[in-house]
Amino acid sequence: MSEVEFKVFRYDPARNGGKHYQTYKVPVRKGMTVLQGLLYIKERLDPTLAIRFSCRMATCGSCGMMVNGLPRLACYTLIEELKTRRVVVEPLRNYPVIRDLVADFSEFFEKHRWVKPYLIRIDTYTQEKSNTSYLQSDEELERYVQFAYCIKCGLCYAACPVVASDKEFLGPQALAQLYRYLADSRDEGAGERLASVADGHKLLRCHFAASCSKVCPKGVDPALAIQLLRREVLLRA
Amino acid sequence: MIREKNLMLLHYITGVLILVAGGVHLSTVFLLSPYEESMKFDSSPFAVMSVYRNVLLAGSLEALLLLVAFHGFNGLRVILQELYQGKTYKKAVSLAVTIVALALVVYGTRTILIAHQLASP
Amino acid sequence: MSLQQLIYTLKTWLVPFRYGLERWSYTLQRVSGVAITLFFVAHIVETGNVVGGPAVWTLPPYEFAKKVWTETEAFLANPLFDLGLSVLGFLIFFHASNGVRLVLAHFGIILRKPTRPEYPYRPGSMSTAQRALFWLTVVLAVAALIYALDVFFEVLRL
Repeated sequence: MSEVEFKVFRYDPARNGGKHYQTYKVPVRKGMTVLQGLLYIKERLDPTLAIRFSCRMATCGSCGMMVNGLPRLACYTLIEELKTRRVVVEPLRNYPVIRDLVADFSEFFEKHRWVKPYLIRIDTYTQEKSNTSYLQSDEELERYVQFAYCIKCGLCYAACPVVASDKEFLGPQALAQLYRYLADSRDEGAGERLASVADGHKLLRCHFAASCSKVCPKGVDPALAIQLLRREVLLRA
Repeated sequence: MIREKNLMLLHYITGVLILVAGGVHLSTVFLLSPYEESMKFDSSPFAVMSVYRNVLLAGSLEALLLLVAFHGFNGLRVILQELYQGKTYKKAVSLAVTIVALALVVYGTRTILIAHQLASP
Repeated sequence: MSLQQLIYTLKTWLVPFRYGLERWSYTLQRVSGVAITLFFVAHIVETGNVVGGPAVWTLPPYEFAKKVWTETEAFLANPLFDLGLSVLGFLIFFHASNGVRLVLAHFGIILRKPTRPEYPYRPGSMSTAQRALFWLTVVLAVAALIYALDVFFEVLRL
């Protein structure tokens, strides 16, 4: 059973406030993920380590962190695939750090809420009271369903070079969700959705660096959603 | 002032038009005549003064000036406004960029007009 | 905005490793754009000088302009400036060709349509068409560099 060195970012503002790295030696089995390594540290070596995790199968989006310099889901990254004996784990970039590896997602969720991630119908009474369903063909579904697979893990925000500096930019996740609802044939709020991002930094500061799509663990491809959204805004709004 | 989406459309349009005007400029300097000849003052068909003498070529230089000034300084504005987002900073950057671009356009137009006059007595 | 934040931002913008081709395109397009704009300013100032500088708004004598031009040419005959112009040629052709690719990509024209994501994922934004255009951009820019080096230094005598 071989061993791997975990170099973990530690930061506790409540105690002494210093940012530093701590190394731990973790025994490794075949098929072990970074999350299992961190839980080993938490259970056997250092219970003060703070991490977020839940489903451990890449569906809840909780365990996003920088692993060896790239944003990854800890539960979805095999230690073996990193091809190194040293695993550097840091909290997700471009987010404020609460403690150790836990990042503050409040701004992320606020931007998501801002794009109105729900169906907008002109007749809201029918939407809420009626018991008929909205029909949708397969072709209409294909236009947006890829972007509905988003698990809000936030890796795209860590990768995006614009999010790193521009606070007004909505970011790949929120913009992809905006397009997901725009392209949904059941939605009737296209006018207000397009108008909301036609001005300012919200959408148009994307420069198609496509780093978001590169790191997305669910193949959502937010870069594609943003370019399709940009097309709609530039030609229709 | 101008909606960001319209500024972006203008950025694309000026970019494409620069391909044309820039193509003309680069051709007259590098392609249609050897570089040494283009660098002469007036003694060859595509020398400096010969280009300014021709109304079409001088006009294309003026167009290139306007297009590049808009495209380049709009680009600088985007980059600078991404560094920091404050209300006064944003207005200051927009103003500064516009002033410098306008100053360059005025200065460059003066150059083209004077050179054209100088070349055609 | 603190100096630390500024350095963080610039590092993110200017270090395009490990995030794919499109991130390289983003960095190089920005760098080339700024470089070309700075050259543009220098070029307008330099050509404006030939007819007499910012103080002159009337017709100068023809011989005066010719004299300034000859002096400028002598000043610019430096091989360092020639190398700079060659690099600028590379940057201009890169920026222009990549710009065309970006306009097509921003309107979704050379991207694939959205499909249901099947592992291993092939993002539609990283389509073959869009990436091929990027490589074409690199080829054109390198060709421009070689051509410019040849014009200034007669490397290949084309």
